[in-house]
Amino acid sequence: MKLLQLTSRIFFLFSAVSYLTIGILFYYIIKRIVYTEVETRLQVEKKQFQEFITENHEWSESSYFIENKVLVEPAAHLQPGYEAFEDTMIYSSYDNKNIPYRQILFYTEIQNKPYHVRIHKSLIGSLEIIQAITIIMAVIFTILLVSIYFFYRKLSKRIWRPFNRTLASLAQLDLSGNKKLIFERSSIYEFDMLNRTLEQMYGKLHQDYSSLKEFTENASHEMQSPMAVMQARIEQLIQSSTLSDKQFEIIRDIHDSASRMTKIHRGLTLLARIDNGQYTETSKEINLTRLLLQRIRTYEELLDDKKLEVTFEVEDFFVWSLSPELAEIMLTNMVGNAIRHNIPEGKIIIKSDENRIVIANTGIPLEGLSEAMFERFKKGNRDSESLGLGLAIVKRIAEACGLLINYQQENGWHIFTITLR
Amino acid sequence: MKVLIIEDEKGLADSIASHLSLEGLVCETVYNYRDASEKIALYKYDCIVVDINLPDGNGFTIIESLKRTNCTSGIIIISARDSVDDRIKGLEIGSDDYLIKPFYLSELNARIKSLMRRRNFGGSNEIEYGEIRVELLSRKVFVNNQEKNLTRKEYDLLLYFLSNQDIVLTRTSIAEHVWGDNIDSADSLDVVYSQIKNLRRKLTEHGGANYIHSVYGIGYKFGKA
Repeated sequence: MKLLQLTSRIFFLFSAVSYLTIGILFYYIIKRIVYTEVETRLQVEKKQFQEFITENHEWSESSYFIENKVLVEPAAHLQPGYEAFEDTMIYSSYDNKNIPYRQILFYTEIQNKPYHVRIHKSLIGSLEIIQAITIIMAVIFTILLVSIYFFYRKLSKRIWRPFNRTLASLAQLDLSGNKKLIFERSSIYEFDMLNRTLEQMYGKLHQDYSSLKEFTENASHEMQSPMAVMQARIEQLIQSSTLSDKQFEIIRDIHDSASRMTKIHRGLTLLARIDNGQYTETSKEINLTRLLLQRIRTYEELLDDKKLEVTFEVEDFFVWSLSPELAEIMLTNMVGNAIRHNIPEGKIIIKSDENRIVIANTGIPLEGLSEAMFERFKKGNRDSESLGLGLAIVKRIAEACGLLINYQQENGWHIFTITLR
Repeated sequence: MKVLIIEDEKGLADSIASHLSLEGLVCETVYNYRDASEKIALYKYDCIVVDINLPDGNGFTIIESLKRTNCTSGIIIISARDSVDDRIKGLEIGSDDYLIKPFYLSELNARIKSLMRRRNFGGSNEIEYGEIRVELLSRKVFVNNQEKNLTRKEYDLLLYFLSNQDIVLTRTSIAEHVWGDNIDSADSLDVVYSQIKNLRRKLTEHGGANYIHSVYGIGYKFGKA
């Protein structure tokens, strides 16, 4: 979830809750205030009534012209000091309906007889006031909340802009490129600190990466000459006719190791060069299906030798733009892999349509995670002859060229699928 | 045939010279740019093997100056650098081939021979060895004048042998020559064996002598016993 969404949501929730709470509180407070006002007046009228009684010693309905204003009824006993307030509805003949009133209840003595008195006050006006005040407050509050909300959003966007820019820059980082990471200066301290720290960190990373790259390149370069000498001298040595069988065996081991080393070196150099981006310039549109078929044909003797049966299910060609060299290396490695890890009289199936190529081969089931297949020097069966680099190279080429390689094991089949990323 | 080897790594230069001499090529070696320029100015060579990285200069410059003087020598670049750009540059300025170190001496040998064959206009469009005759232009092979149907790989293999007569060739160098660099060592053992078996059979089936001999554990040698 985006930060703005989260904070907006929280803000909204908080606003809604406080809105409701305040609203309800407000309503009750106003009501209390208004009612208190009404009750105070009623108390005044009670006093006036009592004074009237004290002076005149009697009460008649005609004293007040307001309908139902004062109701005096005989009571069973006197409860001096009793005073209560109640809401009540009284039918009014003027308006033809029930009208809400607030009444005060108390007891009094007229000519030594206890009476129960109720004085009423219309609440209509008060209620209308309450409503009006509440509505006005609600509207004001809503407007306030809404405008604060929009203001907040706008402000947020503005404030976080440098941060978002930093994020965007980071997303574009390419350690192998030569671009330096430079951020704009921000007037906000935290973002400025962030940017500066990132710049430093990246600078250091880049430096380390460059020196490592340089070191690897130099080391690899330096290795080539001694390896060349070794290989050449071995080749010369084996021409000698005065070697014993035992000596030949020793030389053979040396030769095999030297060859292995050369191959490993070649593989690692290739990986380094791909990482270096050296193959990005030479892209061409390549029919990978056709190239794959070619590669299979190159190995036909090997296929015959191991009695492997190859079936093709080509619905359509898979065409993609990439370096021809890399394409060839990738497919050759995959074919080699399918042949090498197959069982005698096993099968290979090649499927192709315009979105993918599938290379599947029968073989001994492998343990371990499928992902480990693509790591350098991981070998499934302790087949010491294979280098374990082949698939790592395949994966790296795929990554560099915008392709995706997937591996699955199913019912004794090893299935590799090439698709677009 | 005269070959000039320009390579600063003495051990390597001398190995190359020795190996090529086995094949009857006359070799001279120089170890730096200055000596190379001198030699080229004074003598003519059929083939020049150049290392790009020389201590006091750049192999490319030598090639460029050779081309400027309309020199007709074959030029093969050997280099530790395997960058695509270098290879393209090498071919652009006029070299005929490009080998990456480390390489098999027999491979270099085969490339030189092949280059020489390509450049020899008129005459020797054929190679003969014992009962075997190879017509290079039509890629036909005859044993005792009977045409043999060789697959493309068998043909390449035969030429490789003929270019490296009486030289022990390792299985790996054969595999890489015929199938390309990407073949893994595991595959090469079996496949070379079966290829050679097929070739031998085809060459000897109607009375041709067998010139392909296994050398214990290491590889094969083409020659008269």
